[in-house]
Amino acid sequence: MAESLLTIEGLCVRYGGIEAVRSLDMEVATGETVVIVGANGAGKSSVMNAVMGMVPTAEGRMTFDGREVTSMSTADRAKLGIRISPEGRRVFANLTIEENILAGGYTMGAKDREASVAWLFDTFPLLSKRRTARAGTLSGGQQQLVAIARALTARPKLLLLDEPFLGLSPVAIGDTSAAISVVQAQGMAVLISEQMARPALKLASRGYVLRAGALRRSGDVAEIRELALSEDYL
Amino acid sequence: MGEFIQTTIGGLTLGAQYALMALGFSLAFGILRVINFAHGAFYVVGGYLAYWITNEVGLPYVLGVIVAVLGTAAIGYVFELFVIERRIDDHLATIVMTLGASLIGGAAMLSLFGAQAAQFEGGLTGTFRFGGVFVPHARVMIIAVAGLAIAAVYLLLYKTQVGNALRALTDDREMAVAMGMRPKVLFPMAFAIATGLAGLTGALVTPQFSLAPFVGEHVLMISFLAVILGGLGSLPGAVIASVLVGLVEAFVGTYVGGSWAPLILFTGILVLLVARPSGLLGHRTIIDA
Amino acid sequence: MPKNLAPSTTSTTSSAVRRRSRHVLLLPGITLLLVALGFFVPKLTADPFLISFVPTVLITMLASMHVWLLLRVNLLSFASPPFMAVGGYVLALVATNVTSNAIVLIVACVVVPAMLAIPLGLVLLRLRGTYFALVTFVLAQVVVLIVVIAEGPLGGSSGLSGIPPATLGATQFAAGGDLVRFSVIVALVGMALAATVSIVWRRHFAAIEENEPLAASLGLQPWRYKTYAFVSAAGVAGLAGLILINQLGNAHPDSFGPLSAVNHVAASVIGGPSFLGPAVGALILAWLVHVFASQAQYSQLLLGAALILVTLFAKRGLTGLVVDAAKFLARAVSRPGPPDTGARAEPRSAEGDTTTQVPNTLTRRESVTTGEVVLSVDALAKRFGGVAAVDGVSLELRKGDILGVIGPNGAGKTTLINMISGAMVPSGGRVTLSGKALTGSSPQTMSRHGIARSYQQTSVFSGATVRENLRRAEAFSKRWVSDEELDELLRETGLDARLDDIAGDLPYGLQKLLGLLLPLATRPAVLLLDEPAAGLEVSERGRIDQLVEWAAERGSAVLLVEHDMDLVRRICPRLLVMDTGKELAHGTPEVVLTNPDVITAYLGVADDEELADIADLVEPSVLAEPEAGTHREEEIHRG
Repeated sequence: MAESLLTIEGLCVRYGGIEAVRSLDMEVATGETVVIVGANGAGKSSVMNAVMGMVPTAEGRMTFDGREVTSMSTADRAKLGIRISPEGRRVFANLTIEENILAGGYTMGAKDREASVAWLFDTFPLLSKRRTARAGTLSGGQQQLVAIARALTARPKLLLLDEPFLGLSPVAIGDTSAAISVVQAQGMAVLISEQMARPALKLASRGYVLRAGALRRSGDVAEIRELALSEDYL
Repeated sequence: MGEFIQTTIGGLTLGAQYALMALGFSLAFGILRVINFAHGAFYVVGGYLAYWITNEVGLPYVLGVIVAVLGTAAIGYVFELFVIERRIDDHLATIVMTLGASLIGGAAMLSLFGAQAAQFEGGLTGTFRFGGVFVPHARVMIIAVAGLAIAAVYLLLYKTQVGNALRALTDDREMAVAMGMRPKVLFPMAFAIATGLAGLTGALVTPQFSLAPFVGEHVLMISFLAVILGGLGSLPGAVIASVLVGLVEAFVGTYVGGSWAPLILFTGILVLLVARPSGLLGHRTIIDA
Repeated sequence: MPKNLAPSTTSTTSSAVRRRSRHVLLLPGITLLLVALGFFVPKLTADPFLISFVPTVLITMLASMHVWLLLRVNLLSFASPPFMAVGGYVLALVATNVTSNAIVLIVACVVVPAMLAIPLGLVLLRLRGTYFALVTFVLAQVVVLIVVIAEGPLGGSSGLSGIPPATLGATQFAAGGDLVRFSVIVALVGMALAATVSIVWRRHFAAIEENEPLAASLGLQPWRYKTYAFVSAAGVAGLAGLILINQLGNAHPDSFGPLSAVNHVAASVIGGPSFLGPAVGALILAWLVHVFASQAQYSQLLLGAALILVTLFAKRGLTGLVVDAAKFLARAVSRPGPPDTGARAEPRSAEGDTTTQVPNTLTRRESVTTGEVVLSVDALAKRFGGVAAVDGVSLELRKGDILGVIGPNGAGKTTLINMISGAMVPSGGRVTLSGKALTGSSPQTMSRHGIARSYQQTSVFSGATVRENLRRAEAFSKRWVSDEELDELLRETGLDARLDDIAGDLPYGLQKLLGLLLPLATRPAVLLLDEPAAGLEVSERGRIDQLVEWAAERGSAVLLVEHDMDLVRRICPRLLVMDTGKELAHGTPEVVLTNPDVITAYLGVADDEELADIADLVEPSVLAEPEAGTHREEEIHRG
């Protein structure tokens, strides 16, 4: 395995009285794609949000790219090279597609940003065609592409994809999968959390199964697939 | 006919002035969702800063305007960062706190400069004359500055990365932060621009109108009119509505009688709110679902 | 809790819940007494300070009371000056042209502003909080302008002068002690009015302030109580105008400038939400003005600073600070040990859990195929921008029926509930309840016709006790369970031991159960449950079985959105599977959960070899997954 990019040790996340994630250990290596599977409410989104710094880490340690980030602010983590395409997509509804993608490159210099946007429109002709459309008027699948593209503008080292297939039609799932393959080809590390295990597992090399906030199993994709499809997962 | 043209021009200059007055107010509301009741106070502070530099210190009027803009912007920056930002999600709280700021601003000017209207000598004098139509130079300058300021704010919001970030923050603050944007830097800046615009307006307009600690009330009212009419948060809406208000005021003043103009406007607004609650151009509904 | 609870204890619980507070009429009674006494107090000293100071304080207090009353329903009003103007000019006109009888004047100065507030309220109360504030400010300007224009009847900008003072018999309330006494009497009338309104409808107001969506879903009509508050607040402000103009002897538009509302808002905010808040705030304000009489700027400076500081650091105003300090002192004196809040946060005891964990003893109900169709949903759809969250879903529910709605995240399940319960207006389709078309009705209308709902996250009146939560639900709803049934529900949820705890202090599971109990206790015809088990411990989930069963037994048609497949299989004879806003499958759990389309919806498109495995991989227990309760939103689209 390549050197570790993200290391999580003993992560706990709590909301009020509920423990959403319990002492989780996890690792993502540079350029690797890892999937977290688990049913609704298993704590997948909480892990993603904790990595992005959008929810506080109650206990545990997190290092990214050789630096401790456990108590670092979200904006600082973004600057270090973590980006998220969140659950529910959350595109900037009143901004155009182009402005959304530009917003993703906020931390970059103007030149790099322009180049990045041009590359993204090349890669996603679907978005290029409607670049001046307000993101709020798009379909769910298109919004998902915008959310992924927006997370890519800054060419992050680690891309977090939280439920990228949520609520999408089979065709849109195909488009989204293709977009994720593009990311992988760029050598970025990808952490996907998904309830819909099959398309996610196809993209990943390793996986973790969460259940009730705790790690149930980790291993390569074949093992995870077997567990996910046969034992206690839907 | 001459009267009609004179009235139209009068209405347009008044409208441009109003647009300048409403611009900062509309910006603060559009980006921060803060109804800045201290907007009129910032206008007054800007006027007094320019007055102080020009008439008491004796420096050129241009410097007075610059100091007015920078001074009000600085106050706005600090106020947003240390006061508004702490309760930014509570709309009633931000209203009450800007009310407090407005009281403090008025009181400060009162204790520094007294209750009497200041004799603000400065700005431009002289009048253009086209046939039977008179337009003072100062008015022309205000129209020009209003046009420039509107264009600048538009370009800032829609053509720069900072403007893009500000609008992204308005849409979804948490996601914008996850893109690396820092509201604690950007929001005070946006508020500073809004209050700086109020200060600029004060520095430019008070020599033409009047300068006293409480003339800001009128500016606040005009801003309310413009944003309610134009649709809350809509910048073009606020500008168009301001010009409309100016025209209505001029025409009603000429053909009906001065004191009817505001009544017609304000009652019109109440009626509009019943008929078309989102304002003339607004697309955001202001009625509970 | 033990099932063999003695019947006597049982009835005590429910009568305790229903115990009516007797002090409802106490405060107005006291005030009336004070008013009566006011006439008999010996003449006050001729102290000139008091003669001008007391009416000033009272005017500010009544005007602040206007703001205070509307703050109780979450509205910030700048409309105190316009309604004061109405009161003041009514006094001027009536006293000059009709009679100066004090009683007639007082009545007129309440009734006329209040009547004017009714049509205004119809327009203004539709506006959201901030816009309401803006528009009341504009209203203040409009009224001044009208006065200025109306030169004939109202004297225009030069005002009306020579207004005769109010009289009663031979007494003229013009100056000295008489003026003070009259002002006090008017103020007491205003306070009595405000007290009556805020006490009679205290539950409604508090519920709107704390959790308006929940209150509406229980049947409360927010606009109605906001109108009550607005109308009575207008009357109270009218009385402020009465005192002011009676004191001045002339009416002038400058007395009612829109900016004077700022003082009233300030007094109300600084005083705080206690009933005494406006009085305290007005006293401080008047005192500031008095102390800095010659240098108004300093009082204004202090006032502005106080507004900001109170908003930042003392949300409940000065009266709130006093109450907090008193509580702190009382605790420090009486109990040196740890405060009692620690005990509340304690999780439920083990014995409670063991008695209720009985899901397997219940047998699943049969699907109801005959009888009256209660709820009929036809091709319901909801679009957010370009996203179709719900795309043509139809279903029918009969009396006593239980329908489970499942589907992956973002399938549109919560949106479906939101549309049926009136929280969202559908983009298309129909909702019919027992033959009545209700599509797009408000939550309170839905509730009044018998559609009740629970929320995915906890939704209770978190600042009130459990008992008060129940009382509010009972007060808002047209239907309510019997005492015995309520006791049964309280026992089954384990809430009977927590009746006097503040709902927001309860552990998550109990808050969630209280959120279920409130709609259940309204005996709904249709009960919509949005992920009732989410966030509950596995041991607590058996209670959901019992509650749903309880409702169905009593004829409620239940629609249950849930991710806990074990729970769904235990209690739902029929399942509707949704995916990307559409119906994917419909039938018994056994059939639906082995449907390859359903498995694909959850797991994604299968390879051919995987499809071959599907037939044998779905065992009944396969679909279990306890929730840890993350804070996720079902909605595809935020806002």
